Amino acid sequence: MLLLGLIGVPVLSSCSSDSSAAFRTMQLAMPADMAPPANPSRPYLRVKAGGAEAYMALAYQDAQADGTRQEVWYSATGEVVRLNNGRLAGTTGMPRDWRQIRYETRVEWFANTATPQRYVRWHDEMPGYRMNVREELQLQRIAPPADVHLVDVAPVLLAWFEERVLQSTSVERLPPARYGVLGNVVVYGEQCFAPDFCVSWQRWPLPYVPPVATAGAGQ
Amino acid sequence: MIRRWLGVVVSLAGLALSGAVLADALGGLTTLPPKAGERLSDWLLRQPEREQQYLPGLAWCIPSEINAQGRLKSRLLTQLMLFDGARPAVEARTRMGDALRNAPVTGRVPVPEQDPRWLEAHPDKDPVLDYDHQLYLTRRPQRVEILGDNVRPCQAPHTAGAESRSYLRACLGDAAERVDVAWLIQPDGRVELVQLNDWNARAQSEPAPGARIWAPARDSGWPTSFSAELATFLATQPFSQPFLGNDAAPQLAMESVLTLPKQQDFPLTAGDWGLIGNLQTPSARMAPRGEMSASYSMAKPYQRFNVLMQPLDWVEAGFRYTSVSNRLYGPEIAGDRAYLDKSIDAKVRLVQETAYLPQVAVGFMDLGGTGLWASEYLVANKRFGNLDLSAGMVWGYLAGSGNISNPLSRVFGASFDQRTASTAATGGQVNFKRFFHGNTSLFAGLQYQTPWEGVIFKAELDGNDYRNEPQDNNQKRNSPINFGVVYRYHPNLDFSVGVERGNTLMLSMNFHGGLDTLAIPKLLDPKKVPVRAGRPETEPDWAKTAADLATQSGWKVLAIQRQPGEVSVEFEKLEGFYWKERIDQMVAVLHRDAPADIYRFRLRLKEYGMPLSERLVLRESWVNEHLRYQAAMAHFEAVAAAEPRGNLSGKTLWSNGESPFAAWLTPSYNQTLGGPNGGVLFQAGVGANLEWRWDDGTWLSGRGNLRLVDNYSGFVYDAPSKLPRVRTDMRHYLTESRLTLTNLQVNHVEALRNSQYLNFYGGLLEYMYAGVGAEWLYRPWYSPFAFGVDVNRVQQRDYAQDFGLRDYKVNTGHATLYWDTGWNQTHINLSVGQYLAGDKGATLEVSRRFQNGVAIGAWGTKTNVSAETFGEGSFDKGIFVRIPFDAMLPIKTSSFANINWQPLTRDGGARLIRTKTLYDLTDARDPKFAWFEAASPRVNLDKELAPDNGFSSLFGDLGDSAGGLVRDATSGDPTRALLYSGGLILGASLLDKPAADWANKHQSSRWNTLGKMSSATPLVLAGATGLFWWGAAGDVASDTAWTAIKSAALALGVGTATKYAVGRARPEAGLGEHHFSGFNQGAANSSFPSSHMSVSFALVTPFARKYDADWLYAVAGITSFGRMQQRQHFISDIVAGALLGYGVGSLLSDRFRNTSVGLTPDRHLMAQWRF
Repeated sequence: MLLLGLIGVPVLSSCSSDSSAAFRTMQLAMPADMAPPANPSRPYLRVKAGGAEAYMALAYQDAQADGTRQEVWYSATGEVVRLNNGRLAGTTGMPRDWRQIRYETRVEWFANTATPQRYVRWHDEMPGYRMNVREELQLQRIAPPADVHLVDVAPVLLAWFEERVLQSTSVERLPPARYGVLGNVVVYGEQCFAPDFCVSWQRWPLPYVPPVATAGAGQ
Repeated sequence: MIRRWLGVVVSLAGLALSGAVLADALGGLTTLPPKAGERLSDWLLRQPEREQQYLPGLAWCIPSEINAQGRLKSRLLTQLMLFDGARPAVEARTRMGDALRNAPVTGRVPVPEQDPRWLEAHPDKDPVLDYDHQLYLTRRPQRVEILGDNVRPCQAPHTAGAESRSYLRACLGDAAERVDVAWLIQPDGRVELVQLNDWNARAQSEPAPGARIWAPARDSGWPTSFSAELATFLATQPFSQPFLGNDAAPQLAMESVLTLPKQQDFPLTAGDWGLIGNLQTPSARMAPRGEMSASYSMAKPYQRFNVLMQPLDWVEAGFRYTSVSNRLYGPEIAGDRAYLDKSIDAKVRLVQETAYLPQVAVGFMDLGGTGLWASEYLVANKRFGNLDLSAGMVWGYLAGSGNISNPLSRVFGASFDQRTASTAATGGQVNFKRFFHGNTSLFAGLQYQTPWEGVIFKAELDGNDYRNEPQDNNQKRNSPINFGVVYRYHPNLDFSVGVERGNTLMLSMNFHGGLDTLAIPKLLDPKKVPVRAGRPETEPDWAKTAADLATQSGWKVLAIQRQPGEVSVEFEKLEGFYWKERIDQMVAVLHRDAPADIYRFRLRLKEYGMPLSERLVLRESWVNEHLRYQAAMAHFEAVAAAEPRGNLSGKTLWSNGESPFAAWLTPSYNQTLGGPNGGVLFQAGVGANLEWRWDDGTWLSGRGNLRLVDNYSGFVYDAPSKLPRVRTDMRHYLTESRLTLTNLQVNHVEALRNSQYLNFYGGLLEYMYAGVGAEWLYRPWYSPFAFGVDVNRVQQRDYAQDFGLRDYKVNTGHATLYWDTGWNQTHINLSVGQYLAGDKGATLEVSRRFQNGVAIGAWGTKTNVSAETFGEGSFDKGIFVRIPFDAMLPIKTSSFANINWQPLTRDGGARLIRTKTLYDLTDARDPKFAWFEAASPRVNLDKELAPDNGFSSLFGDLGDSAGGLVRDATSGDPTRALLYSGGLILGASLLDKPAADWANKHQSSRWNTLGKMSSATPLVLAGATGLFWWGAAGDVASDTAWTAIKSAALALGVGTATKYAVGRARPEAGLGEHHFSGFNQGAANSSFPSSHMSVSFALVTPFARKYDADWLYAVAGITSFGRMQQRQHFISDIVAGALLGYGVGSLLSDRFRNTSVGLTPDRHLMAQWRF
């Protein structure tokens, strides 16, 4: 059961092999600022990273030991962005990556919005082998911000959260991450990996609600 | 023999150990065995406990690497046995030997990336596994192992943020201060040499959990070669158990590693003279090899424009123009211009810095110029963390204060106290007798990297008191201390401000970058053909194959033939530099199309019928190379170069039926730098080219040129000459006619036997000479040597460059030896023969070539003409940089930029310019063409990535836009765009005079009011754009407004630069529509093009295109009336401004409609070619 649960679920086709799924997903991914993706039923992620923008396509939902699913998104040139519960779980292939992002506890977005939640996160940074970076974070509701890269939806329609670093083993001081939640789905997020390199992502089209998990499909 | 046997024994032991020991040592997580043919990504994805995996620690062990690693281990043990003496310490050697003997030979090789999902998308990086491969995964370790030179076990807890120095400090204590360099072995098997001490520290990676650090102290006796091999071996070792001792070995407590401040590169900055140094004084520091800088500095009354290059690690050289604002050329040359002086500099590193010794360099300023600023210096530098101190002794101009007596006079005699005067009138002679003579001063300086990143403080003790300035131009000095601050705005751009002489403001700007790193992704190239494992079963449409081959390579496909099991393709017009990439793309086409029974491809490279070289491609190996990651030992070279064979007797599948006649247009540009005629003389126009092939090796070629734009009105000076005017009447050739026939000649080339080639030619050979000639070349295949002889009988052409001839005739020709020395990629050409003026002598050209095709070089010609007869300059010489456009443009191209700096054009040592030489035509025989390749993008992650996400800066974004603009401007058909624009501007110029006359007659107050209102249009547009950007009309309009703002800023920048270059007088000056005077003070505010128009059009164009609102162009056009009525611009200025604004606005608008498909910074031009 554990083994089955850890197998990724190709989103594109229930019978595709892993590699061809990755390839086909890359072909679906496309440049930003082109016409919006032709098939609005296909989940995309509009990602802006360090000045470059792209629509990434969802390839897998890898099941995790805690029962959650980690979304694996591909750009047309094969960069990988992972999301879990609306947060970045890792990136690979970008000029600056955060790898293996781990949380001490699972964070529920609407657990108790009256008081800020505190928790600990670890991540690895590449290149440079900055491993085991430990951060104490605080999540709290904020008013809709104006300076976000949100497209085609007004910020006021979303519930907004700010994730602020209280303490970190990194010497770099990063601005707070922000998340926009529509219903129960995090549809927008932004996270800086360095003072001069930030990533924002937005589900496309909006609103996107992930399909109900079909564990083991296609395997 | 003993070593070989030892190696075998060790290998066998390793094999035996690898299974059992590794299973324990690398274990920790249960893994399933690999299946034959399985991809690593698939294997990783089907492993249990994936969330527990520490992917950097993935170990992939393959049997084919065992022998090589066994030999490496035996070599290390043998070296240990051969050490004698007290160092390294006997106990340390014993412990090292024990550890090495116990270490298993694993066969582990690094994996390029461990993320299985990423590997899936990059099959060329995803290894294919076999049943005998072993793979291990572990949990995340918590330790870093430190190996000091005493080879005692020490493990420290991994501490986030700590660099190697912190771990060494924890393990070795004070002994860590004696470690200058260490080998950092990361758990994924990558090895990094880290520099740790105050004098040599550089930015570095942190040790990851599971890393090892081998850190021998500087005086420990461990040779560098041993350390490097040891690090390579350690990279193959399991990291979950210590290399020294065992798990029971002592481990430091959790809080024992104190995180020390991060180590940084020390910034190298240029001084006023462009050399790496302080302000006025030089330093012994050198820029990285391949660096080139262009800098401008100003400290009244001097302005300096410097170009410096770093061809070798230990040589810095370049040239400079110095403008003296309060001295004029003199009425006989160019009375109204500030005096402009040329000079050449060179600096050579003598001693490289060590822990104990400073870096020492000797330098020469104004070597080959007039000698007004001639100085020689010896300087030493020592770094102490963020402080770099320099001190030295200088002779000549920089030693104006003469604060010490010349120590050389005590050794070599009193003659060293005297220095002959500079040679302003007939400069250019290197006067060795003046070196290290005369005034002598001590100087000193410091550079301090402040806590603010990018801000460097400088101070110096100046050796010059400015009381002996050239040209009786003494300056008052209030203080011998100069100081200043450098701000590194961008890794390639520095701004400096300082105070010199205690009373003078200094400002400078330095644009610098690595020529060897110039590269840009080929985003506009045809889409690459993907490589797939399968092969077609049927015959393809070979005509389509040929067309795709031509598209992918940029070469001309002559024929496709088939022999048993082989397809061969003949090519010519072998242009461009990066052949490896072109050949790969061609093989992809052939593999896609060729039937399954073809196992080999043969690419036959020819030029004008001469077979030059071949590439043989083993199809299966090539496919494997592209579809799976291969470890070093398993790698098989799939493409091999071969000497060409005779004609093949195969079945012709396709042959080229193109017309033998070809004609095409190209933009043309020609410029002359410096001199009494003004900063830059240039002409731009369009060239028409033709080639008519009569047979394979015989053809007619020609080129005509139409000069459209120039500033030759300021070209008035002809240099005097005591020789036949073979080159110094260049002005007449350049200015006599706008339409010229530059070249029209018949050529015949032929390949003889035994690597010999022949070339006959006759006609209008170049813009100044017509005649006949022949060339013979001996160039063995893949040889570093070639030898050729050319003989020519030529006659000078008429100035109009038509078919007429002048009286002067001469025989000229040379014997030339070409030698690729192999030393530092240095190439030498030595020619001996008779030159155009009938003088006899030799030319030596030395160049350094980099892998991206960029070459930096210098040449000098000395003939039997005396220095006096030769005139100013004494002998012909120059510096050149050759940059292939392949390194700069996002599309494959064959051209290259040849930037020659020749201080003076003289008649002595002048050579005939031949359109095609046999050496160039036979390039395919040069092994370098298998070596040239695009430089890897080198992105400085800390500094070069564009800000984002609410933290963007205007200038960062603008730089980004500029990069994209260059790329976009080269897409489509830039020639056509240039021609149309040039035609429009030329057409508009017909209205210049009538419009100016009209404006002169309409200067009443009513007209002036209207004119001023009209001129304010850009301000209104800018205000509206600002409101839109602010969000007054929503997000989409705000985005468009941001594009408009960037367009306007770029258009203004480009327009101002153009103004500075062209320097056209405004109508109100009353100097007429043909008065140009560029590159001087005030030129930046001149007439051509109109900035008001360019800004207006740049602001409206993004909106007009976004909202399909062409009426906005009419709004922008309102500006034109005011600019004309106010007598600020001619009509052609207005048209040029509108075109510039429209062009920039369109390109930026389009660019943002088609941004990148990935997230890697592919449009960061500045990040990738840093110049």
